[in-house]
Amino acid sequence: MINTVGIIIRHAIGDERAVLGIRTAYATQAGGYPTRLVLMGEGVYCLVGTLPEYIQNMIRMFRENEGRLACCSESLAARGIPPDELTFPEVELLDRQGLSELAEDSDSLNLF
Amino acid sequence: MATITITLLSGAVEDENADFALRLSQAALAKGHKVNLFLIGNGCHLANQEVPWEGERGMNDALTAFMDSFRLGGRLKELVAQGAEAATCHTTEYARGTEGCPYLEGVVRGNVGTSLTRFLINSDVAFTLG
Repeated sequence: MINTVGIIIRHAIGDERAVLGIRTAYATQAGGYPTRLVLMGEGVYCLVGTLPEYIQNMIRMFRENEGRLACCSESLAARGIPPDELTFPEVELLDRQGLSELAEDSDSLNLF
Repeated sequence: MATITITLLSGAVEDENADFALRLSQAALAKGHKVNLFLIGNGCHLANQEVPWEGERGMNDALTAFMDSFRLGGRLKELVAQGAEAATCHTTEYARGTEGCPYLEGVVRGNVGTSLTRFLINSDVAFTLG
């Protein structure tokens, strides 16, 4: 039985998979599955700069529904993005150990 | 027996994920497991009935045989007939202009908020491909 969901997004906002992952994270969280949404690789660009209104709303509603929003600290560092420049200040930073724990804690892990 | 939900993001031709998803589904059904397929992104193209070209195709036999290997509609239809459930994400169909196109028999129009979460309720395993 699936009780918790992990969603990892590896693509920037111009790739549809990023949007589908964010939307799915909101849907599972709102649907009663505690969900952790993690941005890594190019996916960290979903958390910086000006985002389309729909994306901002999805992430905001995900957070309002107590969804856990995180990103890979190594991916940020590799792209020279300081954590304090993220559009959403409440983003949890995960190192490799944190990502491992995410995988262990998720009954269903989904890559987008 | 387990219930497996596959969220398929790839279409039939762009890579082998859709082919793999259907092969895995077939194997799972053969073992007595239950399979749910959620077709999202380019995966939604698998849901539609084919619309054959009526004129001269301009493809030789070898090319036709090669391209036929990418056509997965018949296999999806068989899976559904064998008990698999398949639902689409209509929003991604809307973005592709295919929202009104007829589905293969047994495939249903759906969305992330209702269809996918309903699939998850009874799933033992769920993952994405694509």
